[in-house]
Amino acid sequence: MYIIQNALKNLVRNKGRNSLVGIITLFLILATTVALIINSTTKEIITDYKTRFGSKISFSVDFDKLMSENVGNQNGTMSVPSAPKITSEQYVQFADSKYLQSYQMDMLARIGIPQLQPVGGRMGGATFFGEDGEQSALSYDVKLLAYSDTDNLPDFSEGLRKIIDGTMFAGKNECIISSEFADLNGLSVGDTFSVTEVIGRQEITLKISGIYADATQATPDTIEGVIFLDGSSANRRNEILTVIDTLEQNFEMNNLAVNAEYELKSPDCLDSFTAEVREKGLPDVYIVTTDVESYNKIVSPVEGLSKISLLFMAVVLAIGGVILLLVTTMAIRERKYEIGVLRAMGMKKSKAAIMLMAEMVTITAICLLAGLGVGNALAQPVTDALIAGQIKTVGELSGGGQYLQNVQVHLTPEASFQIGSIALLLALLSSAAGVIFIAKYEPMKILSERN
Amino acid sequence: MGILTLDHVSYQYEGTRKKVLNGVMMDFDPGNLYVIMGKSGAGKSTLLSLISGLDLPTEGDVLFHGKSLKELNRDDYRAKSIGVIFQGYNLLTNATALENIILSMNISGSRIKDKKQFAMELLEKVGIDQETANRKVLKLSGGEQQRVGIARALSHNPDILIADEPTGNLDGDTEENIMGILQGLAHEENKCVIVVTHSKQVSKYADELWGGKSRNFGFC
Repeated sequence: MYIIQNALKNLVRNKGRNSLVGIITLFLILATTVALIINSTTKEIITDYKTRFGSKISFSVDFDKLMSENVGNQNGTMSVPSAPKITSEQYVQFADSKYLQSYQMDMLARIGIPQLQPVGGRMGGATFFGEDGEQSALSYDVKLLAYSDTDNLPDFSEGLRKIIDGTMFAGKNECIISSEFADLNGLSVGDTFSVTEVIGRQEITLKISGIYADATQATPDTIEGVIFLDGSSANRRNEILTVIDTLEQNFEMNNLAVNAEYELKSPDCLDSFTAEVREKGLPDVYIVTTDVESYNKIVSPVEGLSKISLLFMAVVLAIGGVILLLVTTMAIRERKYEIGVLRAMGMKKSKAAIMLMAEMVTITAICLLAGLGVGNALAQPVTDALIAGQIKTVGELSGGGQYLQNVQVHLTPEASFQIGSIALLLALLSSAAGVIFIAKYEPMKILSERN
Repeated sequence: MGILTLDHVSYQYEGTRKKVLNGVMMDFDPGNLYVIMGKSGAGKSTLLSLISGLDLPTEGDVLFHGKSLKELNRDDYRAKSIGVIFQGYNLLTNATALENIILSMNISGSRIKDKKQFAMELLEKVGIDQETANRKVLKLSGGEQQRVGIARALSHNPDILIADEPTGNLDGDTEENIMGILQGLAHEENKCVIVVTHSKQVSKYADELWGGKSRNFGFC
């Protein structure tokens, strides 16, 4: 115990020397902290993007194959043949795979509501005719939208839509409607109403589980299909939201528009998943890919940042380590006498070494706390400056792209551990000269040299 | 056999041909004050460094209670069994006088509860007041440092006390006082006190005098 007490007193007794060692150590820890915070965060980002882009599936048409397969059918014309469509049923089938970590699917059914009024009135838009023509004309009034992931519904997660009465739909044939649509038609939670799918003419009854307030733009500037422009179905207040089962089990799949996104459990599952979807009927002209190119475009500056931070840390540690070693070696020459006296008084070599190390560990611990605090504060502005430089450099080399502009850095547990380990190494390095000296010299020699 | 025995002790510094000490035979008993006198460079300080376990003889043996220092843990021997008053003081200059004494007690593993008070009493015994005790050694005069060195040597109540010119920087009255303390330690507390000195004044306190015109003990 007295060894530690004496070590702490020595810190105050030798303020000048310890301050110099402290400043160098602080600088090294500060640089290491900034570098490791940047490096660990960028590594997280890169891994995240790698997983996302490496796992996100897309189906694209192999035009070379499409052209070569249709050479015999061209009859000398130059028109590009159309690829066979992936049907809604297939999209649903593909989602049922053990290789997928998750999938997000949304479906659209075009709905007519002859007994009710769409918000904005039944003006313009499309009209679908039945077998008896004008007699059974049905206008496409509203959209019935279904989602597989009810926890992350578009606009709800962004706060633009919010349930103000009742609850989110939970089961088949339950739905939520906008407050404007409810007010216009005198509907409230628990009421039911009939809707008809305009192509297949299936009529179903929906039960209102909740009513939502809608702060989205009522009529988007661009919508799919010019034909629906100005129609009531384009008014977002007319959107009725429900679960996938409502559409899948009530309507003809071919009459629905399906949008699906698949995410593999791992990028390694790509070949197996491709084989499975081929078996389920994916036409040969489609290739199954992951978006590596997008990954490269977005993440390139971050990768550059990661490399720069590591290089910076290595250079600073190498130069700073040598300076620290020199300073502590010079300092130990001053302390020779002190060590000689302590040893002459009977202090064991091990205790003298522990005392020196305790001094250095204490200095390093103080520098570690200060370095972590200041480094954490400096890491973000340094990152912002570096990423801006990287975007400029990569942009000039590759002709631009949609790069990741903002990297929010933070102190990760991994970085904390690494900084702690480096601090410990610095403490050992700075006490190494003293420990070697203690092990090498006998007190008689030290004292006789001085006397 | 006494508490400390020099058995045919010779010492030769590395890289030299001449022996500083040659076949020294000495026996030291508790309760006596020994004074060793000799010319400068005769090997008195070398002898003290061998007795104090700071070095080992190149030939022969130093025995403590019959056991060779080569076999004993010399750190423990220095910390607990002997107290050394160095000619050059050898104090921690950036620590206070009081801290020097307390640190010595800590190194020896002293079980005294109030070490600060005990250290202060020791310092007062050798003429250092409280204000001086709390000053850094670097700011003390040579005489004051010598007294602190004596107090430090006494701090862990050693069996043997070795002093290299202990009164070299002290005035006559203090010299008398210090030698009185050392004599008291030998006669009243049964310590073995070994003093190396030039001073004929100091030799007066000797129970046994070595060197000089008295007994030659192997100085070369």
